[in-house]
Amino acid sequence: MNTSISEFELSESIKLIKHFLPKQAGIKDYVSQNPLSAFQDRNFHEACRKSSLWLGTKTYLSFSEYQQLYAEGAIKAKTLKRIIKENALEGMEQQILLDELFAWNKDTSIQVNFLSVRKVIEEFYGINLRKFVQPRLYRILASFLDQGIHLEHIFPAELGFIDALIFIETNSKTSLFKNQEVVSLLLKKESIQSLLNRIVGDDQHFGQYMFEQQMTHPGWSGFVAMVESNARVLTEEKKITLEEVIQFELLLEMDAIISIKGCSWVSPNSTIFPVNTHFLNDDDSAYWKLLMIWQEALEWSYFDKILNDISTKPVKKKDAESDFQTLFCIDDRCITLRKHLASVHPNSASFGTPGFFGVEFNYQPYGAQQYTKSCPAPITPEFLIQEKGNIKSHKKDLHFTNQSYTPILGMIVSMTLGFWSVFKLAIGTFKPKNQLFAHKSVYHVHPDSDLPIEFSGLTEDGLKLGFTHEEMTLRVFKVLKSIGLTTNFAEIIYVVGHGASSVNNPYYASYDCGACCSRPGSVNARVFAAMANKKEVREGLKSKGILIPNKTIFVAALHDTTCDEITYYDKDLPLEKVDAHHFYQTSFAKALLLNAAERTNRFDLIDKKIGNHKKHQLLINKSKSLFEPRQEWKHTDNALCIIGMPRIFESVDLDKRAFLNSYDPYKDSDGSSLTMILSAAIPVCGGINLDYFFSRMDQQLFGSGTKLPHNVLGLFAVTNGVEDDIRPGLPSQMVEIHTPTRMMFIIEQEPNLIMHVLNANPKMMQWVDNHWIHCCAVHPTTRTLYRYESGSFVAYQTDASIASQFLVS
Amino acid sequence: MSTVIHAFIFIPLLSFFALLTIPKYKEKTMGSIALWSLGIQLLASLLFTIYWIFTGSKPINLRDIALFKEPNFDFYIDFYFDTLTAVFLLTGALLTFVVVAYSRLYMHKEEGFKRFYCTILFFWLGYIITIWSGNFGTLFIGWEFLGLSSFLLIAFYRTRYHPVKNAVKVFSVYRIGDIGILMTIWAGHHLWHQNILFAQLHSDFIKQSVLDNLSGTLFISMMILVTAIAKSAQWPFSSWLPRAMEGPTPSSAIFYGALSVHLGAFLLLRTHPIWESHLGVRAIIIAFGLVTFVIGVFTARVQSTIKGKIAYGSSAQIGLIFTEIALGFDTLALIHFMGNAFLRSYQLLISPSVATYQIRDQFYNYQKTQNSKISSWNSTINLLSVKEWNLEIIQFYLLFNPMKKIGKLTLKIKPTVFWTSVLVIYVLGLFIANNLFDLNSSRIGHTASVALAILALLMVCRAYSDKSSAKGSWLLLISVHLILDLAISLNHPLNLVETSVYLSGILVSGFVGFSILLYLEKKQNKLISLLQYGGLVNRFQSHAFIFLLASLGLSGFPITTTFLGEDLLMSHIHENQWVLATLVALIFIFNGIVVIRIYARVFLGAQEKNYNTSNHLSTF
Repeated sequence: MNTSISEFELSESIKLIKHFLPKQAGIKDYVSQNPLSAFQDRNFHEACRKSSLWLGTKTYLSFSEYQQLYAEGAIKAKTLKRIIKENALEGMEQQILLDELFAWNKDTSIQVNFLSVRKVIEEFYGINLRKFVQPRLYRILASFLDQGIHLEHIFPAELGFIDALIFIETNSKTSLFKNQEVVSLLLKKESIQSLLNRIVGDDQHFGQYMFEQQMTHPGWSGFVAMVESNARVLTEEKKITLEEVIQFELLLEMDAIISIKGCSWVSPNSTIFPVNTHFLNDDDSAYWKLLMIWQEALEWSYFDKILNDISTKPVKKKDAESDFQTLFCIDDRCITLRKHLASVHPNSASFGTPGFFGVEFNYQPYGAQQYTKSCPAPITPEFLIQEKGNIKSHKKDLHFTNQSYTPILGMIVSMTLGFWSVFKLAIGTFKPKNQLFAHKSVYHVHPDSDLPIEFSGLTEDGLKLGFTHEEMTLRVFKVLKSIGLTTNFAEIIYVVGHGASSVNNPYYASYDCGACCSRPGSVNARVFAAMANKKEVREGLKSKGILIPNKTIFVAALHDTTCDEITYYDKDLPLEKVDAHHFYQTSFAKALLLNAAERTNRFDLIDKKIGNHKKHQLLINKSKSLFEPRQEWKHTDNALCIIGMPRIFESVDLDKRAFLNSYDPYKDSDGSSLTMILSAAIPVCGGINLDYFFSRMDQQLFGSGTKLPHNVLGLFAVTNGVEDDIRPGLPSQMVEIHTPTRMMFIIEQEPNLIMHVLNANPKMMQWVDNHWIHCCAVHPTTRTLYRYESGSFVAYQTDASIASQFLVS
Repeated sequence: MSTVIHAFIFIPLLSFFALLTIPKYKEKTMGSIALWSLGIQLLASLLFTIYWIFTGSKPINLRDIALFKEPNFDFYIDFYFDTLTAVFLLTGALLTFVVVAYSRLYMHKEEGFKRFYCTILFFWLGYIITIWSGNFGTLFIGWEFLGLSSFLLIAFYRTRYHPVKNAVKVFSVYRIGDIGILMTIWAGHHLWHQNILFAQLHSDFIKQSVLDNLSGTLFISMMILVTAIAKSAQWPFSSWLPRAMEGPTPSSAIFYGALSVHLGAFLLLRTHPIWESHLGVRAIIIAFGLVTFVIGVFTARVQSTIKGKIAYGSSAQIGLIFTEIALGFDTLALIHFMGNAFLRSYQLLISPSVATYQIRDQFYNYQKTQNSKISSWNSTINLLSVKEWNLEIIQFYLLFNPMKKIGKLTLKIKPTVFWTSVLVIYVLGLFIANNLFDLNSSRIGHTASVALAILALLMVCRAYSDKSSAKGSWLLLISVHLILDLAISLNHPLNLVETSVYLSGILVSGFVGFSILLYLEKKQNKLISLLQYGGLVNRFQSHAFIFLLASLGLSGFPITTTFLGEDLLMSHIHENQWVLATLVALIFIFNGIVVIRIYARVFLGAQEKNYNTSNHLSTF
């Protein structure tokens, strides 16, 4: 790192800080990301090590946890031995390494030397800067960014952060600071360099000082950087830059120092700093190697079994014609439902594709002032779909009224509404019912509403209101081709989006479909079905070689993954299909019931002996209980992403640990479909996987800790207490039973073609080559396994004897 | 009747002890015990209140066991039931019952499930004792229980820095409020020459005494007010309330939304007859109430966190309740209390939903704010409110800074010199007390005791400021009690029983605590300092628990005889010796603060690290 700073390098330093900050948007659009994205250009294990050394994070389980997993059988002796063999250190006996793995325990620890410039500065002034500066910094920042917890905006909406501070400083009769000198520095907009010059003195250390300063509150700095890069993160746009925050924080630090030292102090000179501060240093002790071996052994103990099953279990023969077919999201919560559907209605087939069904647009519900994106986060859609034709009134819940904080009404409210609250509370506790403030996926789009999808030349806000026929055809074609559904169409094809329901849950957005930018997938399902049902589109598809028979009809539906309920958008269903549809609905109902029953296995408090209907009811209750911190387990235990024909995994027990993307290896000779699939699956599934992985590893710095004391901040983030850092990441209630493994992509295709696709896409290649994901190929005809190892696919031999089942702790 | 009343105390007490014995993983059993115990209480409260109304709703007084009896000092437990008790009992039982039921699932799998339920039941025990209490002594027991359970629940996430820091802060404010009760007991003892009962407050005897001794009752009224404003988060203490929102949401709801925070109002209503004829006191109560109300309303407007907003909203309403009480609208105040308690606890419990509700509301009804014109007046108030009207700074300069400054001064004396002089003074004092006891009741005795009390106070301040060694501070705190005992015996002879009542608890818990510190230092092979939070609870859980008990013993918490000893000592200070009384009360209070700070700094507030690194960039 370049540590000296000059005019040009200030922006470099800020860029470096931003690089390491968490990149998470507000709570209204939770999108999972790799928390170590700053290290993505490095090898996975190197990244884990360096993140620990540089940022103080925890990136592996502890030795005792690994040893515990070993004792439970989740890490297999055979696999462990193999991993040791593959990773043996130079001149170290394998047996010694094995002994070492078990010799380390909770009390053994290593000393990491980190020379902190900021600590030197704090000792120089004899002051704990954090204690003085942070409460005020957080309060002012929160007030500036507030989205509606405040009853009143205290800064003029159009001003940038520093300008707003200057406004309030000059406009009010009291001051932001304790010392007049600092006020004049603010009014002069004193530069960061000059402030650093006074506080730190030696320009060799400016960069590191700022870095350390911002990393004491990564949550806040990261959020500001997000707002700076994309104003739409907030509903009410705010103009703020990380540079301004640093400037203000330095002013607050000046204020604290002046309060202690008086206004004429001598800046420290370079002699107080340790000689040669190696900030970004490395450590290659055996400690890291051992953790790496444990982690790899944990992952491969599971993968090996799955790979073995995939290559050896017999393939089921399929009847040519299905009664109905289903299109599901690739989401791991859908696969158990698909499995049960296949068991209760063997004559059906299911396909998996990312839950936005290849149609990208913004969606505006009826009566809404704004619209929201309904496709994967990196895509910027050019289309707007509006809901029409039904009136929904949103009832108010008086308990959120701001009147209870005003002088006179507050008194009346507490003397009247107060007595009503206690009834609501008792009912909510003993007999949970739907609340006005709950998040329910079915509310996203009304079943009786109209969704015009045809482009008629109108635009709004620069967005086209609907698609042209060519655009529709192209999108439907791409999806059908990628999943290999080009012949043998059934009578009814259900397009099933998914969403979730919860109450009292600030993380509600993250429960919905990740491929729809944390919204329920119902609108996308409806739009896709409507497109595929259009005569003109079918004509277009015919010319592209896909012939959909006239008897085939697409029906959209929404699967609520929390309640295991399904809503059909079937108001336009032709009469002759109604009977068949009703018949298939009973199959869905049976499958949902089985799915609900299976899901209860992961909940401790549900009695396993009760009937399935009762289990289902308990799950529905969970979705509306005020006091339920775990409405569902979401992506807990995700570990696999399988891209291929259903037959390769149908007889393998995947539990709910896999993302499934349908893919026909025989219909993709040029790899274009695989490219399309991987370009969405790798960042989306990989991001979710690593978010879970690292949130589980470090609940303090990557995860957000237990959600029970969480406090909603400004409607854009959660925090603890009233003056603490913003907490990005996933709460412990989502990841506590997660087995942290990186994601294994199993692709049914010839290795050469996969290699070709990866080589053509450097971004994907980076994920694979740096081992942020594992990648294996299953040969479509021979079912031989290949594993990606530094640069190429190499034939892979599974540990033949796998004795016990992989246990989920 | 007495069995019924006893049952109210014994049900929570028994279920608390039952919970303590249940292994950690038996969540269901613990949940059921708590739920049943509260359910029975709720039902019993309802039936009892109905029975009481139908039998004429006359106040009930039950004189219970005497814990200590001497000719001029007796400490006995007394229970009292009237409309005020009934309202607080029903509201409290209902809310606690619902919250206990709510938390069974909410707290599932949380580390500290058992701790949570034990603390909630302990809180409930304290609440019951407080509202049922028939005299100041009994009330003080409940009051102390409430303070401790508050500390434990705020610091529930005990390995994180902020909860622990804020728990110590809130405990300190509560403790400062406790000065009021200690001084009230002392002054009341001299004013009425008996352990006054709340049942007697409405009698002519009291009314006459108020008229006879205006300055005495004025003093008591002011002391009660100090306790009430600290407990109810009134100005200038309001800022502790939002900072208390660190525990799991249900505990914040029941404590700081509903019950604990309204007990200041309870105290004022309970002691009504003492202060109502002082117009000045009523004016002061109204002033504090209204200032809190105005500041609370303005501050709530610019809070960015939902729980902070509810906290200020609640404290503003309590300001109004204080005003209503001072104006004599007792019934209105009671209705206002119930409504506010229910409303705020529900608002807190559904506070995570504000995200879902308001974000959706904005999605449909969003209007861009147009506020480019903000008047200077507005800006001033807004900025002041964002800074919480400098309440934190005011509290610091008023309360803790003097102690810190004095402590820093004493630190200029070298430890060896300091300890030697303390020892010399102590031996000298003992010699005087034993050989020249004629002097005891004379002026010289009194002067000597004041001097010794000042020395003890200096020692407490030194223990507060000296962060270099936990052991050193602990020893200082034990010595403080020895000096204090000597000081009082110079003022008025203490017999052996009295001395042992006071010192036995101190010495036992002092010894236990010191041995634990010694053991931990040996085990870790390094000195334990108080410069940083140590977080030793991660590795030494049972030691932490025993040390907590020792700390309580050393701070005169009602689990050892020292608690009685404190009152006993106070009763040996004569009517006109208010300087000595104040000094002694201050020593008790600050001593408690320092003790709990030692516990927090040694055992709490730091995560266990996977590996040792000096890279603690983040605050967690």
